[in-house]
Amino acid sequence: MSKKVIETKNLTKFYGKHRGIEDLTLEVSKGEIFGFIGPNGSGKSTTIRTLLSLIHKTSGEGYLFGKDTSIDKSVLKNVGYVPSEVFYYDDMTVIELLEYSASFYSGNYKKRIQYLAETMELDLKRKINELSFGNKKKVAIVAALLHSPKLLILDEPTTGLDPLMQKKFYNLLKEENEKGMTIFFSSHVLQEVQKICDRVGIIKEGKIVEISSIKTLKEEKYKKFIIEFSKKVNKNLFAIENVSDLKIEDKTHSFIYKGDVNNILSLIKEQTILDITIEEPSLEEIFMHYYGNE
Amino acid sequence: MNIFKFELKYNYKKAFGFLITTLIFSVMTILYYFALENDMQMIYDLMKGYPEPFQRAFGSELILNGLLGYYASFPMVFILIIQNIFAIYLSIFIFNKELKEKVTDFLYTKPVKRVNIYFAKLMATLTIIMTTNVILYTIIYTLLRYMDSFDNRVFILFTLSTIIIQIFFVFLGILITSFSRKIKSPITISMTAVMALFAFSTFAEDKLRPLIIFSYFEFKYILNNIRLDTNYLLLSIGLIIIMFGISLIKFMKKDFE
Repeated sequence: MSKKVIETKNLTKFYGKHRGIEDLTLEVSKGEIFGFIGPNGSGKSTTIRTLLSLIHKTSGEGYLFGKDTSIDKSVLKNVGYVPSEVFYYDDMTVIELLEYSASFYSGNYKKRIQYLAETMELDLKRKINELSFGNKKKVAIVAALLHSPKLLILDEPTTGLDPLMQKKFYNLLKEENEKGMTIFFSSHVLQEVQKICDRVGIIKEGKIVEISSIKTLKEEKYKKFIIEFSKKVNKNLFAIENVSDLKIEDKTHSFIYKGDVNNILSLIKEQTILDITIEEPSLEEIFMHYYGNE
Repeated sequence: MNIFKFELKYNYKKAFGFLITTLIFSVMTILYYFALENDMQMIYDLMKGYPEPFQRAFGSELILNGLLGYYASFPMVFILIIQNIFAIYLSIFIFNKELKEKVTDFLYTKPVKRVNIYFAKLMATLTIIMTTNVILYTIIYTLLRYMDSFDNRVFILFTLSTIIIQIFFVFLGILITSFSRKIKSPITISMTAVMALFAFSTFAEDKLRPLIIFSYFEFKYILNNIRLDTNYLLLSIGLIIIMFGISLIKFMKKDFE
């Protein structure tokens, strides 16, 4: 079996004239936890749905385990998928749905279903239409994992899960990953991806803008500054390298900085400051930084 | 096989409900023959006073042809309408369910080829339709036989013609679903399609007959010739094959967004 579990080459999908993804090229290797981050509408779900052949590509290539799923569906035996929005046949119970899901794979998964349901604290006897969004998400997670797939594709998997459950879920993912499962983790929450992923791909407006390891991303140290001075200061005070998205409103300056925060602190030490906030920038703001540097 | 079984399990209650409704209606209207038996000429004369489309809808002259004539004039017209509404509704429901309930992500990411999903759903639809037909027509046949003697061939041809029309509507439903992103109300589409075609069949001129499935197998022709009109039989089979082909290709290429 190919070491490249996911591979795309110039994968492109247009919905009529509207761009879904364009010339998307990435590789995910066996055993990796790959984070796929981008704001809503950036093309994350389109990438996943094209790889799974839920939608048909416009051009380019996309492979799972070296196979194009639009031609060879058998490869999906090794794939589990948690969609971002979870909908099921409402008048079924959870166990009926999971048994129906298991019927598509060879083997007996009763013990596995029990184990996963206990881990995710899921009541198997309840009707699907009685479940909250978070519980439906748990059903999706169990359905995706019950056949112990070699590749798990997650599209915003933690939406609806409370922090305690999220932690259990991350532990479960790490456990499965240690057994050899490759995980493709799509999210718009950078911190979430940073927690468990080895590498990340950043997508914006349908295009990959960066692929890097989490280690590198952390080293880049993005910070958002909001500084309120006691009086108006020189507009060019922060006109230095690695500052982007600079906004000046009267005596308040806000910007994104990539690097050592002490560099900024040394710039303002001569000024009287009324208020200062240094925070993690949103993913959108990091994107702004990327584009600002181009 | 699992999709086929799932669809049967998921839809048997609908089929049962349809069957009971149709059976009650059929038995009641057929038994009404006893009350009307001696007044058929009067009813025929009365119907002559109604507009032509009404007479065509109920095949007024058939009424004078004994029990099977009455059966074709009244009970069967209603059975035909109800059956075909059910046929197109069921096919739309089965093929549209994942789209309507947004469950495409569940089913279409399983290791099953789309063509197999198509055939499993088609087989489930046809199995339900044929099972209800077998039960319905066996009971109707038994009842009619109990009431009077008649030519079995005519009854079989009547039944066969209704089944062909049902299959036409099954594929029309699949075709409509294949071209739709999502159908919110299958019953509205089903009733509109069947009633519009039926109404059209009552006033359309003869040259438009190839466009209206309800006009393909006239009961009067079957009663007089003890066979189905070969040209229209072939045309209906051809249309079914075309709808099958187009819907399958469209289903294979469909994007589940």
